Amino acid sequence: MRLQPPRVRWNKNAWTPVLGLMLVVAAWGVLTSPWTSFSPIMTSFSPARSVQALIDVVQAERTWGHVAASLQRVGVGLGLAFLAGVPAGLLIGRVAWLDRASSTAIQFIRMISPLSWMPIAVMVLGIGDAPIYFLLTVSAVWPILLSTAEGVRSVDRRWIEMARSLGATEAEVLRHVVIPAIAAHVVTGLRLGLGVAWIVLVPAEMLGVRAGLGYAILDARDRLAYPELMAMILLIGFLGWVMDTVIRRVQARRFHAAERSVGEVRTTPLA
Amino acid sequence: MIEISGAGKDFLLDGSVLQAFDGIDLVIGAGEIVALVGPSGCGKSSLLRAVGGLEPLSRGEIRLNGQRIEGPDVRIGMVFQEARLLPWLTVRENAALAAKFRSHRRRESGPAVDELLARVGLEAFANAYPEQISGGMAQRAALARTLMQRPEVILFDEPFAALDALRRMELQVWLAHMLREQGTAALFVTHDLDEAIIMGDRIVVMTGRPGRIHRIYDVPAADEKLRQIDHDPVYWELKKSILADLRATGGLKELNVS
Repeated sequence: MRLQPPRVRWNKNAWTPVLGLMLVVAAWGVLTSPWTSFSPIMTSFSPARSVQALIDVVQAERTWGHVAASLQRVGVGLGLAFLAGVPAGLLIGRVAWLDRASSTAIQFIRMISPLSWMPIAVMVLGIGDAPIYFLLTVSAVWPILLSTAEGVRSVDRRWIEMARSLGATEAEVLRHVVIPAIAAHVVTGLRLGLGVAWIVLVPAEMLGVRAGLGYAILDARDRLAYPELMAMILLIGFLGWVMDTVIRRVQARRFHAAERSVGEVRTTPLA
Repeated sequence: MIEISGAGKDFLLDGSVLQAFDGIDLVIGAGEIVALVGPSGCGKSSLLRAVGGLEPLSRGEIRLNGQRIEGPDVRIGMVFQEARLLPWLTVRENAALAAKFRSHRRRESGPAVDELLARVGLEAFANAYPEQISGGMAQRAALARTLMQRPEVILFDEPFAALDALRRMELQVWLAHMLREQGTAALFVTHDLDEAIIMGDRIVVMTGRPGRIHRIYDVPAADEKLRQIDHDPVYWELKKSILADLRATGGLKELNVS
């Protein structure tokens, strides 16, 4: 029997995202080329000019000042949303009447765009970081709260019963069973909350502050530095993607076992 | 000592009251092993859960050493049908779970967790996660977790139902031996008459719903390994008699008759 030489295989899975990204860049190029774009200003946003501007932007010190300001705001907003959302989610998931009492109100408030609170936030909290923290907290708290409550509801009742039979108090059940069991759900909520907060951040920073990525976009517009404006948009997208990827990696590694807990060995009585 | 007197439990099903069991009077002495057999749905598991304080009774009462049982009690251990191991903890951490609870810490210190794992034959798997071990191993880890609690009484709800026949028999002999050695009392629900004979000091046969005690058999004492129906005719007679009871109470068709 003749042995066949091993064939080099094209790993489709690894290359598909790259292909998708290339298609997006190609579409972007077409839309901003001088021959196909419908407005002459569009050519300022072409991939080539934007990438050149991005190289300049990442080398400029003030860019990182803007990045730091934005990350700090998102950090504070997400932190506050976590501190409010997790305990509230635990309560709502654990206490049935509270769940019933709050569900309509939560769904109602959740559907209001966080940005619509902007005028009220500025009126009450003044200009500066405070209204931005408020808007980011309001936008991130719902996914964290709802995901936590959903996690609590889906905790296997049999684990709780087992812990109680070992003599655990309510607080001990919460600490040693419920909280570890919902960790994956909380991280999912944080990830969703980060996504919303990162989206709300840019318009919120167009609101009377002198630093941050949202401010940098407005600033670039005012200086008519259009390629730089596009570079800022790319930077925002890239930073968001990096943060999401980091959380997803942590989630995949840390909560792998918990996610698979659904497949716990179940027994069937003998026929 | 567990004293069950006049115990009854009702469930509400589609607006009508369903009696699970009724009029149960039973005393389980210190260190005694009692098997509970009967047709499916005769309230065996409900009775077990009531003894474990996981479900309130509708009538009557259950006392442990004279104290009325109102809820889960650290002196009563429970081994469920499924292992119920927490998937984010290792086998050792699962076995040592009771040590994290204050009600346990208030009592004098119990056996070391590694010693217990060795006793259930899991010392090599102490650092494994539940998803990495077999169903039988998980059930032994669950048993170690209950033993860690150092209960005076252990309640078993068909603990070996998921295991293969050979492994099941091995564990039955081992468990009965260990319970007797430690002087731990046990009440266990089973569908397997051989298991009841191998492990039990007494066998309680229950009627169909509402479950009542039909008859109580004393199992002739012998080493667990020798309690095989093909070994001594006395066990064969006992099994025949229990089967006749179950036939009379309508529970035979649901039993595991080997």
